[in-house]
Amino acid sequence: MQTKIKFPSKRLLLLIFLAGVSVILLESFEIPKGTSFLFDLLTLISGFLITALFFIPSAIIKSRTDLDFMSFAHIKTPNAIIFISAFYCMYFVYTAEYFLIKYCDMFSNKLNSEANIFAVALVLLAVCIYAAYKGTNAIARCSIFIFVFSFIVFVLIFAGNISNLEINATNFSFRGQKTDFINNTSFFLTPAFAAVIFAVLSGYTKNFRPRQIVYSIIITTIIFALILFFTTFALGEYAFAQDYRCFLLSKSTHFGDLDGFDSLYLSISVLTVFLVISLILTCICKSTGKSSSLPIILVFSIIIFVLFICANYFNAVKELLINHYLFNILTFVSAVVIPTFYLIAFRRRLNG
Amino acid sequence: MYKSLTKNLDTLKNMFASSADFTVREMTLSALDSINAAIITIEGMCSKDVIALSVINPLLAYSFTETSSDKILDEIKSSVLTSSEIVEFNTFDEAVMFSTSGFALLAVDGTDRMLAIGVQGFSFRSVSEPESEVVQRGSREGFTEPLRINMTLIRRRIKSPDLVFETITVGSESQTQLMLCYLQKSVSPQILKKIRNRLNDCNLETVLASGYLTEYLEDKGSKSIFSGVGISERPDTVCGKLTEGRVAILIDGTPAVIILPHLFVEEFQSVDDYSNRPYYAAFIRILKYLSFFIAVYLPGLYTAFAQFHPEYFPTGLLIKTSESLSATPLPVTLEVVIITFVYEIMREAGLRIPKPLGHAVSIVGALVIGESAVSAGFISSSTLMVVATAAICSYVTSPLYPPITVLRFLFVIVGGIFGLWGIVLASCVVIINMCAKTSLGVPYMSSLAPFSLKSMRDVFIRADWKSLSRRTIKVQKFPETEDSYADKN
Repeated sequence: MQTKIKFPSKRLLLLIFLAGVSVILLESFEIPKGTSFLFDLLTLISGFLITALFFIPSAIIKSRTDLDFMSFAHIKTPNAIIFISAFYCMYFVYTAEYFLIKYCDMFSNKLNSEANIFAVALVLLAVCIYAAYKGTNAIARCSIFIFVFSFIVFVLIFAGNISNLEINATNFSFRGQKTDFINNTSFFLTPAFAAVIFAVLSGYTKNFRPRQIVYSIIITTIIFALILFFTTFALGEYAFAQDYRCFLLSKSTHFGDLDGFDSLYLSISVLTVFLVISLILTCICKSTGKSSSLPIILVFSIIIFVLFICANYFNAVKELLINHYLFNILTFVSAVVIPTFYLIAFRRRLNG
Repeated sequence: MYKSLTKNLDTLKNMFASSADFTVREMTLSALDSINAAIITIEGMCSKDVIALSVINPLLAYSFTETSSDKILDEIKSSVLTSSEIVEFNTFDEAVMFSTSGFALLAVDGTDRMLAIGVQGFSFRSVSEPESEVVQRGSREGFTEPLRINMTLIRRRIKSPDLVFETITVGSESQTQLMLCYLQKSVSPQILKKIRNRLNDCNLETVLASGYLTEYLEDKGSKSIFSGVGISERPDTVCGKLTEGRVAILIDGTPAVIILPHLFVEEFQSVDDYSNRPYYAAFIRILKYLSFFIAVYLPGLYTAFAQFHPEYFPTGLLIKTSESLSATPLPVTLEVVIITFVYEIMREAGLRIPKPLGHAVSIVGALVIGESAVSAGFISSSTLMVVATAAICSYVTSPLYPPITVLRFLFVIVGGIFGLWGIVLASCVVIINMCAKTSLGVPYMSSLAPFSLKSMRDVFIRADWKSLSRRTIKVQKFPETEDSYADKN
């Protein structure tokens, strides 16, 4: 179902932005209590600066060869491609699992504790299979609507919390430990998985400009910073003891007597997770050398679901699958180490 | 064909299986040696007065000087007949085609040629305003059944040599004539080629309406409940589309003209938008989009909120709704499904029954089923109001009624089972389906996704004519169409 038509690369960057939003919505903001807003902001900026670095190898490959990393690797090392494919498939299964578990946790914790999370995961995966079967281009087009909806929701959430703001001057002092800095930066590195998606899917795009990545990261950083700002000054101390701060913000949103905006949070969280998992399934297809193949999508979806069941029965598996340190290391290897190795090894034949 | 008139007549009679409407008027032409001739017609397809005045009278009154049948036929063609349209032919297939199209066939003994004389005079519905596309301002003319009249309606509006009509015959039994209509300089050759190929691949025996062909014209692999084929009964609408590089397919025997490629945003455009002032046209457009969303989502959201998330209702509304719902015996999902279903039955009945009985159905629907069911406590008034509002909104964009109806049911059922979460996921499926759909290689959601800022002047708003007339955007130039991609590479 994947069409041969290339779509503008800014739309892929829109997808990357929405992937970042999904992290904002699903993460529980493990920010230590003793830190100040300025300190958190600094860690946020450092996290996103490193995230930007993750894009460099694949951006170089794309701008010099107009190929995505997988196609580049296939051309340069046709004999080793099976190992590269296997590694990237494993990485994407891990990433899909990471988001599926995070989403189902959030769903059962905040929205409906009585819901059968296996059914939730199964239905979500079924919809993602359909989207992945329709191809990257269809998902990218769909992202325009999700972006518009997310934009409206964020404007509503921020506007509806302005009246709750209590600016505390002490939060503008610089306060925090070195270990907090590393923890926070590690947390803010989570959206860097989008660099791997970019590396694999950039071959479907045209008119690539490196500044598009910069804009995308800056916009995601601003959204993160605003969430941080509002949770710090609108929710205050209450937020530190709670998970899912974006959910809390949506709950505290009100315009006079009009409230109940957590339904909007529910909507954008499912929309962004749907986008991310669909994209990951298309990335798996691309990693296996197929543009969009239903049997491959189905096989890997079954693996993801089986892993999800295992994670829910064995806590050790779950801890491993949602460990964001491990996630960041795998992302680093997939987005930076392997593409950089190819760049160095084939630097003379980059345009060949 | 044979040289013998008798053999020719026998063959044609056999081909028509001595059908009751197959008529032969035999005569003897006055020449040096009397020559037998015959006029073959299909009854009801020709004007008897025209045949008598411009064919039979001149033939019987004329004294032929030639002796050879071939020369007599040439003389008839050049000097005797007064009809404006005379075509010579020499095969039985052509004889069948001309006679069934309303031509009178003139056969002369001793020649293997015949003449088809244009004396069409079958009765047909006059040009009138189409009931499905009524406008406040603008032309009151609509297409009618005969192909030639429809061609005239278009030609009268586009007086340019660029306008081309191209004949294609489909249907192995019905031999239905189609006219591909396009502007030579505006149309994409690739789009035209695709349409020709798809029509040639059509293996139907009969083509009696535009609906028969739409499935053949859709892109492969883009199955959807939304149609990538546009239909209009208005000549002004078709002419507007032609100037944008689209192709119209006129079908003999139906007033519904197919327009290709067809995009989602076109469902919200109407001729009135271009007659009204831009600010009002923009207001109406936004109203149409809102109505579409209300028609699709309102019953589903109501079901989901009432069943799973009552806290999302404002307090006042929650009290009223819960009071109303608690007084009814059925669960809210079933209630919404039943009322929507009953409404669809009444709508269908209203469409099919004779007009005088329509009032009776309205009374039964409004009073008996509506008011009595609420007062008896079978259904809640809030549910009835929600379904009625959605039903009214669905008529604002009437071409989208079929997908709206199906989606409404889908969202009610999904909302009833999974709540708001299910509705959001079902929306994802629908949007992905729409985004993946193409109409002859043009993305169905063009202007929105892929987004085109230039096209936005005629999507949610209708810009003023000064800016609209600056440049007409041809449909093949929309972003990510297969043709524009091929052009650039």
